[in-house]
Amino acid sequence: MNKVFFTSLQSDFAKALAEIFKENGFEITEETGVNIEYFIDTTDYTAPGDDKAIGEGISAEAGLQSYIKNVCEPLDLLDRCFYYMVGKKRICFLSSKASSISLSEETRGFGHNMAKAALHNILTITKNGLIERGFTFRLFDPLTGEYPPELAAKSAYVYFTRDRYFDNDADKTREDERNLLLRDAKGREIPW
Amino acid sequence: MSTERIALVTGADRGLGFAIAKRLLQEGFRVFAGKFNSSYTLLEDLQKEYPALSILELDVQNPEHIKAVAAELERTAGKLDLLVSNAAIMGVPSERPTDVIDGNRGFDAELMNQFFMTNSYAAPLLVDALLPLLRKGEMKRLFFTSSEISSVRLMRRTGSFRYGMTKTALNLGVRMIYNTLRPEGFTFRLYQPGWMKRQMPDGSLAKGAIVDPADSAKEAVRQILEDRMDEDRLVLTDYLGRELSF
Repeated sequence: MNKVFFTSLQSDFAKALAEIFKENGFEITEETGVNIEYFIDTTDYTAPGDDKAIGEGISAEAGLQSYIKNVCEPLDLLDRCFYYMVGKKRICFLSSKASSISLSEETRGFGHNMAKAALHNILTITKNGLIERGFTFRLFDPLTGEYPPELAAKSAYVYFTRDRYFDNDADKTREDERNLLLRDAKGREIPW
Repeated sequence: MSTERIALVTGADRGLGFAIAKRLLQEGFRVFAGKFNSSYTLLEDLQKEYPALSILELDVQNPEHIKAVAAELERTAGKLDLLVSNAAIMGVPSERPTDVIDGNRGFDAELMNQFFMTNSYAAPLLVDALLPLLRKGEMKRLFFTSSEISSVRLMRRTGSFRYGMTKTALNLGVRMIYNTLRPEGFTFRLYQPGWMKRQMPDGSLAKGAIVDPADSAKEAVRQILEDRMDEDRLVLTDYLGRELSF
């Protein structure tokens, strides 16, 4: 049975997504060191104190903690899972419009949002290096707080599991996988 | 209040920061220069020529240093017209791990944290601490040194991720600062300085790379001093004046 690795199953979105994977015949694991087809990072952590706007006393410690939780720890887990990825070898992370340099309207949560923006860059670099070795990538915005997590999970399942091809490519080459996109639960592409 | 224009330049020991500080002095600014690297004395030499230059110890990773610089600016200048947030870590010895995900390297958490705090998070920390002084300034202009490799759309690299990812995070941090301060009349510059020649302690430039820091600083200061037709767009521009996508 193909396995799906979750970095965390604490959020309603993560629980709902895990249920859908199970319904479709996958086994869920939070252990490293076993063969997995999907690596799914569901971390969405804002450290206490990382809620200040400019002029309100930005906290260095809170920002660093948000970065460690959202970037360093998931990437460390990914590195440890690397040799155990099989099949689609699909690496999936969560982000949001709040971390879009083009669209963000946020004024609070510097550590959290900057950490997620950093992920956009490192996942692109990682994708560039690993695409030829069969790894594929997804970035997804579950629209937390504005869209039901169960519906977001259904959308994520389709986005995570469906391969992306050129529409008219009879040979079904995986060329389109070269373009890393951030899509939200309503299927909209979010610019960087 | 004095009509003298006051600037703070971080990472001014050498390279782009040093060249921007010098250029601003030539433009008549009173410049406070953040110094981190004690092996460089270029600022001390420049100070002999320009008494309007003040040198401040500033490790932007250290919140206490930032507070001390804000206090010194309050005491001696009473305002800040221009912040040039330039300090950054670029490379580290090649044997250090964590520059590619391949299952072999392991993660150097301390190095990851240093890059983030210096290259990304120092920007909101600085603006937050300096905001009362910036609000008293007339220019209300904030300049941040970013990089071409902050651009996710343009990214072609397959490794060496620490610098690029922290510059993307910087761009997002600047966007968030912009969201708060643009309505107050602050204006923003995000700058890609080009692949610059490394400046040695004696002031000479190492071989390799393509851009002289003085040339990049000339363009940076031009962009700093010129108002734009549309200040309501946050854009990343390079040393040739071109706009880059995020």
